[in-house]
Amino acid sequence: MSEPTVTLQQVFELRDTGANNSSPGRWKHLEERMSSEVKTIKWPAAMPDVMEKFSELFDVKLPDIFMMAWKKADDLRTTLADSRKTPEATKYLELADHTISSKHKPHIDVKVKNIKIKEIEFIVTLTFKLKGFVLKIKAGEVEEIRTGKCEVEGKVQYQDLTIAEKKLSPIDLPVLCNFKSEPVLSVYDSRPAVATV
Amino acid sequence: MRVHYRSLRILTLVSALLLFLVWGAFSVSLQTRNSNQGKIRAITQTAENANQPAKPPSKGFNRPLRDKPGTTDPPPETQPTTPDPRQKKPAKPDQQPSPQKSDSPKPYPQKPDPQPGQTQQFPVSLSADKTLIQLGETVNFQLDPNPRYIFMFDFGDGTPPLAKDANAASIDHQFLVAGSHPVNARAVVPAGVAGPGPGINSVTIAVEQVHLSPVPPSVEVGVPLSLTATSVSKDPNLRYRFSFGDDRQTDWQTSNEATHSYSSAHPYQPKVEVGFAGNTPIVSLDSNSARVINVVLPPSGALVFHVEPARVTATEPVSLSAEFPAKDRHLQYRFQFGDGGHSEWQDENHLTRSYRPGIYGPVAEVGVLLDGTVYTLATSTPQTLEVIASPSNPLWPWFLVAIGVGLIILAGVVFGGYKVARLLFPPEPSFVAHMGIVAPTLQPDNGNQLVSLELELNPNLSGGHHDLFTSEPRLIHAERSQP
Repeated sequence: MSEPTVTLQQVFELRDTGANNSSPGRWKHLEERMSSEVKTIKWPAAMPDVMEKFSELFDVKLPDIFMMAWKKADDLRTTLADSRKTPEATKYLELADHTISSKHKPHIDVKVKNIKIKEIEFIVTLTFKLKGFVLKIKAGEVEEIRTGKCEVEGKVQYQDLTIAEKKLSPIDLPVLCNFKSEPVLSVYDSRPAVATV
Repeated sequence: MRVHYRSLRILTLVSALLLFLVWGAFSVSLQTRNSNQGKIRAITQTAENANQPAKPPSKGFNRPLRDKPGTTDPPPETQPTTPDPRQKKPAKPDQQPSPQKSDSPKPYPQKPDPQPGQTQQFPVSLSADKTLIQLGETVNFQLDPNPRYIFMFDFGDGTPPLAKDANAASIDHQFLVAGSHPVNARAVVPAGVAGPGPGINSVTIAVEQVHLSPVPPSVEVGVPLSLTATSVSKDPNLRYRFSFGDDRQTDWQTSNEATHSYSSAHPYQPKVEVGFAGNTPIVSLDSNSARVINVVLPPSGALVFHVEPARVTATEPVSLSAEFPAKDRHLQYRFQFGDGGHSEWQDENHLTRSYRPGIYGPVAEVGVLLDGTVYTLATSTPQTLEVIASPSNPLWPWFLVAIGVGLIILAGVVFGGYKVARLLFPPEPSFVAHMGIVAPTLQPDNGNQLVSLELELNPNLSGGHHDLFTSEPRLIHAERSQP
């Protein structure tokens, strides 16, 4: 059984509040920016709490980001295709040292009575430097990741406002990340999470 | 003794024959007459040729001009008189006597039979039915008494002499040259008759041209000009035709007067022609021109244009009127409104019109109607017309106040009702989490949290951009299989 994996929330420490919050003004600045942009909405007094709910947007597992990048590699796609032909066989693929650069734009739609009045779009840039990763594949699927050394750096921005920033530093990943019983990427595949305030 | 008796009888017969011859000659001499004045002409006649009174001489100084040498003249009674081509017609027996004639032709004077070898004188007078005529008129000449001789008439107008037949009662002549023409007549003396005496009296015929008088001497365009033709003739057959100098003319007419209106300013010289009815078509025998007529435009300022009032509101009609002296003209008026529109030519000199707000310069025009066409006489100077927008309704501010108060009251009612509803039914905002996200319930802040909003979180991971850089040519460094 694999250990709980690391998410972007953890990388950027977005859920830390109170005394553990390394950047207590990040949501304050976001709140001020949004209040000035959407003046027709009288935000509730507990706006900081609402803002923190935005951090749920970054509950993205790092292996899922890795998989999105790996599947663009031709040799891995070829190997997975061959593995699909021999579903009984298990293969272990040792990956070369590589770097993954990722940029994606999660967003939050603010709706009043089902009418979108505001779209809050964040820009997340990430760079991973991976060494010693091994993939276990079977029946055309990646069943398991044996992690190696990982260094990551990145930034979360709202327009020109930086919400969170991560300097390049190693992070600890679980040794094993198991994908066998879990639809890995379907959760993040443009399916919105809804919160009502 | 018997022989002497027979000779006596022969001598008696011869004497009787001579007496018969003398009586016949005396009878012929009775046919010559003396004039009433009896001072002009005497005809001497001998008893020897008294039986040949009408035969003209075969030659002589007063032989008729139509005679040619070597030709035999017909007897005077049957010889036709060749009429002058301009001679109209012989005088009628019932023609009225001329003023100069005192009475009808007198019968030949009854003179006693002349004795053989005696001469006898007849006074003959020449008269005309009129002595002052219109050029082209015909004059009838008569001799009183009218001897049975051929008379040569010289009319004094340059035409060849004309012979009056011995049996003709009178002779006519048409004068085609103006001026004073002395008319003379001379008898053609038969052969064997003594030469002419002092001659018949001369009659002078004054031939006058028609005169044309325009009134007035200068006219404005469209004003009627009167033309009067004056002729000395009283002939009821006299006809007149007027030409006005602008390519227009009348037909032949009985009246000696005509009027005409000119359509443009220009000098014109009208003319009149005279002819006589009876000829088809009527031939112009005389003409004369009037002096030059100056046709001028009306003076500037003659057209007075009124715009009343000069400053109006858009809802008020504007009265446009013009004044212009008619002078017997059929005037027409047209108005240029100054806003691009204009009226048609009309008899009325005024109209009303409504304008939109703005400043305009209306203009009036006046024209004269001649033969169905209007000719412009004058155009006025533009008048300034200021049309302002209609003032607002004086009650309008009160309407605005009433509406404003009504809106305020309505807003108060709505707002009050809303507050009451909020007090009765306070909203309860809630925060509901989905997709397993932590969802604490937020409480209203002093009752001001009235908006319930919804947040949709979309990680959009698949819509991102991913780049992979390897230190080796392939991502897969090594591969091993596990059976």
